[in-house]
Amino acid sequence: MPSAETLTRTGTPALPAVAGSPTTVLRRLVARRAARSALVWGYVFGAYVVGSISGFALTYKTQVAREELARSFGSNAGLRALIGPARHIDTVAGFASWRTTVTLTLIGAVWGLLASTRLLRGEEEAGRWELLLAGWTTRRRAAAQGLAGVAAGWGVVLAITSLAAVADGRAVQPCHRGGACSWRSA
Amino acid sequence: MGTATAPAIRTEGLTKRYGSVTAVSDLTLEVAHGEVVGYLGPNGAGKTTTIRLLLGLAQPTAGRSEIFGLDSQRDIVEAHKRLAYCPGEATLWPSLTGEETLQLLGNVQGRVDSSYRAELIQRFELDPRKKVRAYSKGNRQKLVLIAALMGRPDLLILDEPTSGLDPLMEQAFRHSITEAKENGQTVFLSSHILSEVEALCERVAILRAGRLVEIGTLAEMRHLSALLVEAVFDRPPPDLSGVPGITSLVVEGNRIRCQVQGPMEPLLKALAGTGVRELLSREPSLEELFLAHYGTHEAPQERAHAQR
Repeated sequence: MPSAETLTRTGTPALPAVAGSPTTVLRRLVARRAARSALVWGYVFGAYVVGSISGFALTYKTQVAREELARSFGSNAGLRALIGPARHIDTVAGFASWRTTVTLTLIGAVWGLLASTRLLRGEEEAGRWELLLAGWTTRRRAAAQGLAGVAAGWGVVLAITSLAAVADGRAVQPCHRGGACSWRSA
Repeated sequence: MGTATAPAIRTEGLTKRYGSVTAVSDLTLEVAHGEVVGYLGPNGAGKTTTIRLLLGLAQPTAGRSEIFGLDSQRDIVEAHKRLAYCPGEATLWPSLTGEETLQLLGNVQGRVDSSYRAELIQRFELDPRKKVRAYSKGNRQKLVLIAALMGRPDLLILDEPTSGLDPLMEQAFRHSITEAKENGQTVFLSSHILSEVEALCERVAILRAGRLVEIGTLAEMRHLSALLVEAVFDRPPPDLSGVPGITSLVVEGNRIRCQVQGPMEPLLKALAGTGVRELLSREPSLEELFLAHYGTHEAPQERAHAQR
């Protein structure tokens, strides 16, 4: 990247560098804006995962009850069509992933679509991108950076949801063979 | 790559059509290094479209444009490193403060002269701690103006930059452009305020309906200047139709309206002792000039173009 000094031929003194690279400023801006909404949705997703895990642990307290659940839901063709095949749903991890993956993926995809529309097309429509596109970028690069920013927002949602799942999953005591299952204080 | 001798801006047959509407037609223009050029035209003349084409924000239907010898469409990044742009309508991020916005736009441009930025903030009397949503239209305009000026770019592309600015800030703007000119920067100033362009620009290009109808130095274009004069009499007004320099004379009861080209003296002599109660003179707007000079007739360049 050329220095500030090489950019001017008008006799002005060399200018101090600005914070950050002008080629990544757009990605950082979009990522910051996406992260704000991603934090809210991350908490919603996390709460849904925690609710599923806790609900499972409280409702099906024994291994026998869980095996009964697996038998009844495992053969339900309607549920399989809606949220996928029920594998290992007699375990906390199996039930949580069966119950939440499809639902959260769908909601997350809709959020991603809306967020990227708002942060890319919406900003362009509002006229804010004109100032950014007059910088060290092209329309194609700007769109790619914008999408990378939205992806960073998606990463925030995924990280919060995963953390909630791991934390709550670890709080649930595994069942003893043939015996009762219990909560463990974190 | 651009060359040291290449003009700051060069367009060749630049044309942009949106469906059946021609926004810019066969525009050929050259702006030299260190020149301050006014780009005039009424609303919808194609000024903003030209700027969008120069910035590579829109693709031309035909023709090409260059910034310091760099193709505006192919070498966008290299071209943008040498320029800053100030839009006429500042749409900014409402949740950012003025300071954050300047920081962001500084990062976008890749360079900031921080001491000059501080000077500009003071000159334009802007409080940068406020959120953008709390700024008036004029203050938002000041913000984008400061953002464009603070990097001291080689080329300033300004699209009606003073819309919403009060007369004091207009003076600050003129001071800043004069400073840029002294510093050797090139300024491409799109405007429909004739007085602003007259005060700042060495050359003026006039656009009408997407076509360049006039281009030249201000001295060459003096023939366009006409003053609008309105007078109210305490009796029926005298016959002024024979006074040299008077055109577009309209008489309404005890009131007259006319345009004066050249010196005012013949009119003032004719008005002496005729019972003038009020006398008002003002510079006509560009649109009025257009109506007076091109309203029903094609401009010479347009005629030539049509014959081609």
